[in-house]
Amino acid sequence: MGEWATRILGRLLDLLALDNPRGTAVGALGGSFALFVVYLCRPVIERQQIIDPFHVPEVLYICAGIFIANLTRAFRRSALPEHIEMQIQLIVLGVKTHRLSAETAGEMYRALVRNILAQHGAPTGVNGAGD
Amino acid sequence: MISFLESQSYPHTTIQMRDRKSLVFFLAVLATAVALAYAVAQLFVASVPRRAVLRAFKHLDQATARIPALGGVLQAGKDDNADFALATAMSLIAIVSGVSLIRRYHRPIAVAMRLAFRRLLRLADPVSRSEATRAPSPSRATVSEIVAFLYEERSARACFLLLGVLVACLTIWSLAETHAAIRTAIVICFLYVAVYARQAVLRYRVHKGWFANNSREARQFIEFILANADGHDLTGGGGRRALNEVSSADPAFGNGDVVDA
Repeated sequence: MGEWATRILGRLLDLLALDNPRGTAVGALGGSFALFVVYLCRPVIERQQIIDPFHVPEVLYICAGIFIANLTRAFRRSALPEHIEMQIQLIVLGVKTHRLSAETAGEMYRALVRNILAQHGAPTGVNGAGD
Repeated sequence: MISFLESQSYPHTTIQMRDRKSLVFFLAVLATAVALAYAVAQLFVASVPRRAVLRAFKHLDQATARIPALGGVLQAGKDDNADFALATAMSLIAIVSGVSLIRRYHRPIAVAMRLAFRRLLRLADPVSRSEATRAPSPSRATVSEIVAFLYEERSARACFLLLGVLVACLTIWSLAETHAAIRTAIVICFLYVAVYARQAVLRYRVHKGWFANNSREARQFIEFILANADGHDLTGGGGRRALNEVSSADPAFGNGDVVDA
């Protein structure tokens, strides 16, 4: 239950682009700065009738900043070599078709990580507890 | 009706509003100052050279010595609202000293915040509560712990940025009385808490041994290993750079040279 809850919570927080906290913070800073500039130029902006940026909620400025700051990550291809990506895809397929249980899949992911660590001459301990 | 009320001028109401805002803003500045003082105090625990700490305190003293002068200048212009002027002056000083402190000592402060956060986590976790009093050994450091620390390093910088935006929003709110600033500050607060929550979740999963047991985390973990393996020494021996060079100032890992299971 704890494992499932933390996994879902981590994924939900990552949806807010928090797996890249620095990019998110820079985006929030950019959005806030844009908002500041818009309010600073209010007399000039109010002279024209084409756009009205003051009806846009402040949250959207920050969201737009975060989105732009993380845009390059959305189009980035997987950095994994093809054979590793293939192994992960096979495990995912095994879970989807119910040939592998979640526990077995977890063990296989960890074995894969251990193999790659061993190939790079690193210690094979993946986690602080258990390994 | 509301727009009619807003269009009317009520001097006493404005002063009351400003006083209330001054109080809230003063509390916010006080909280920031306490957080900064706590981070600086943690430097003693982090075994950072004592001279750096003394320099930081000296810098703070110089900054705070200017408060009466600046407060007096602002008070002269706004005799009817001295508290507001003083709170504004204090906030400006806090921002200036805070930003300059962070620029000069962002690395030891980040380490101190990380240590404090780790200690909080350990105290909250009954399993590792007994370990809180024991100094961690370098031999206990695993690769996934280093991944977690690298995330904390990035989080610390992100939190500094968010804190800067938050203080700027509160300053604008106090000076310009615009609701846009306070709404922005609320969103920034939410992001600030969320960054720490993500960090806590990651550390908890690493501690419990659950990290990298799903495709997403395994992918992230392998990407990290492949990105950092070249030019780094994952074994802790040899002449190349250590993997956890980023956390080399962290006393939990000694000099940060050893990465053992």
